[in-house]
Amino acid sequence: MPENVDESFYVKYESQIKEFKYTLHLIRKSALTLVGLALLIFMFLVAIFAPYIAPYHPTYIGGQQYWPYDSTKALKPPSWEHPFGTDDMGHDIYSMVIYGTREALYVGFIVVIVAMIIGVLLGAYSGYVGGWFDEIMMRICDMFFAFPGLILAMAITAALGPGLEHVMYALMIVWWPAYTRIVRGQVLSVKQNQYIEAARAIGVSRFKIIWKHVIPNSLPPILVQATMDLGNVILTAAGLAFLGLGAAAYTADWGVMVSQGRSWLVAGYWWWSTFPGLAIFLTVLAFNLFGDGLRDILDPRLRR
Amino acid sequence: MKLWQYIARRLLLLLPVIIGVTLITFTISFVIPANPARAWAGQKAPPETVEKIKEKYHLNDPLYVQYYYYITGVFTGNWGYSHSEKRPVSDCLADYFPATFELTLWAMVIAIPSGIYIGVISAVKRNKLPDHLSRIFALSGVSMPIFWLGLLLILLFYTYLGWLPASGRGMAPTHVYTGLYILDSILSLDFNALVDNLWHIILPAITLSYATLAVITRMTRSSMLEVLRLDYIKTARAKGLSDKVVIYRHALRNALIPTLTVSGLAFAGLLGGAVLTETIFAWPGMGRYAYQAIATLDYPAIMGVTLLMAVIFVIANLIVDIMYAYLDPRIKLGE
Repeated sequence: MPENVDESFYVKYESQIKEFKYTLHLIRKSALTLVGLALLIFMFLVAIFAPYIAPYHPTYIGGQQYWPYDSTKALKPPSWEHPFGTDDMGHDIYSMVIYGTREALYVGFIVVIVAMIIGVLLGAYSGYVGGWFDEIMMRICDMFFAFPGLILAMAITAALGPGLEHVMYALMIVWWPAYTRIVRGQVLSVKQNQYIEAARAIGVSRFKIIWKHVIPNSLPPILVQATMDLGNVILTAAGLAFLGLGAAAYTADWGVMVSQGRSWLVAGYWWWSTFPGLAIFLTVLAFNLFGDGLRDILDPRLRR
Repeated sequence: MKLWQYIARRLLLLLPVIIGVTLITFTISFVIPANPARAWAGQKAPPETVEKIKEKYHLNDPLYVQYYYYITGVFTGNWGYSHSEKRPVSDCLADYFPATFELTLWAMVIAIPSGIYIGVISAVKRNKLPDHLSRIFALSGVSMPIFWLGLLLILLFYTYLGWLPASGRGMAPTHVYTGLYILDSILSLDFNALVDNLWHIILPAITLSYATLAVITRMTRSSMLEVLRLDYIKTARAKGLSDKVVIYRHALRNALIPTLTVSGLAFAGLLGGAVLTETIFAWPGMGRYAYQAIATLDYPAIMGVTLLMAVIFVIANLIVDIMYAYLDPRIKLGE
């Protein structure tokens, strides 16, 4: 009987459902969190529907798909035809900014997810078993923490050679220690709980305890960190692109666009750098607003 | 444990951290490029040249021997040869370091007091208009691409208004003692240079300071909120002390400790930001040197800047820890 199933579902998860509803209520109450969420949803929609929203293909140059270059279309200020103007080749900046959303979100998510997976695995194991493994792991993390993030990423990308893929590898290398550290800390505190001891006492395997009990219970702070880091990763990737370490010129990449437009800006061609920069700013702001709100909401000390 | 003992212990602990840092820079510079000798010699170089370079830089030796050469080089000041500048990396760094130091110093001078001030106001006026404004201001600061902020400031204050210069440090003072132009122009009583240098540092310093200012504002706000709830604050108010005394004398003192820690960490952002800021404002520091080195594939230069910045960051955090121990006696007593 389906009704019965529903009933037992509610009974079984009553506290969780209450908690979830309360969380939703708190999100709705916090204006800045809502703004962040709305901006994020907007960015995702833009990224998904980029081909339908953008009036031109990002490599389309006035009248032709690629070449020849048409000087009458180059460096035009914003107009109805080109809302954000055109670059020195005649690309439509509005279309490039729209397509750039895909790249930014792609870089952010892949880097954070990979760093998080590495961090959760190493951190959980390290915190759970302790001993020499934990000691070595933490000293390795310390080595990475000694570098300013952008500088280390810059050195790694420079050694690998410029390119989006290399930027992403560099960012993963820079970011995993932070997750390892957080997860380890969480595991150390979760480990103290009696239910872990009970599980161990009845002979549950080490792997199963970590996987079933330790990791799920240390997730909330990791998710908050991940939300904020999505913004930070996008920001750092843009910085590397600005230094000439990212994607090739005329790619629909925000950092590359700001960098290329820079030399024209002083001469008064302000639109080329300004609009992609604004896109970076708003995207990072959205993740920070949402992450900030999420942290306050998930932190039991600040809840009431 | 006394404070000096604590400092001595922390200084000893510095050594393994620095060795760890060199392990990473060594790995990046020697292991990642598949054939560094080929990369340095260029694609068209004959095999004999490549072989010679391999001999010269000990590339035929096992890794640990190479690391030994590397680390002795690092500690004896031999940081490699910068082919973009045609002189040793250590000379370049010595030349460029003061400019970066001056810029970050001024950024801190802007960021710390104003960040603390805005954070206090925000906490005291919690959930009122000033608090909302300052939170938006702070969140914008941590979300703002620093290079974009710099470009916007250049566009406004240089291109359109023409009030401020947008590149370089300005004229050199008549005598250069420290390499910090503003200090030097005061020391050599060269007021033309002083005005010019101050004029030139305004935009880059503001650009660089914003993110740090934002971080400090946020931390001050949240730690002030925690402290203001405590009983001793209620006691102070009950004694009839004025708001000003309670906030600045009683609450802020304790609230500043977490802010101090964050300032140390924010220093990393400042160093990273310096690379971007110097690139935009053609500020002749280590960051712009790194940027030019990237364009010319000058790996020893990039690794030199990376290593030095890591060492500066580690030392900055050491200083913060020592101040922390000084301010909060529990740190050194409680071990």
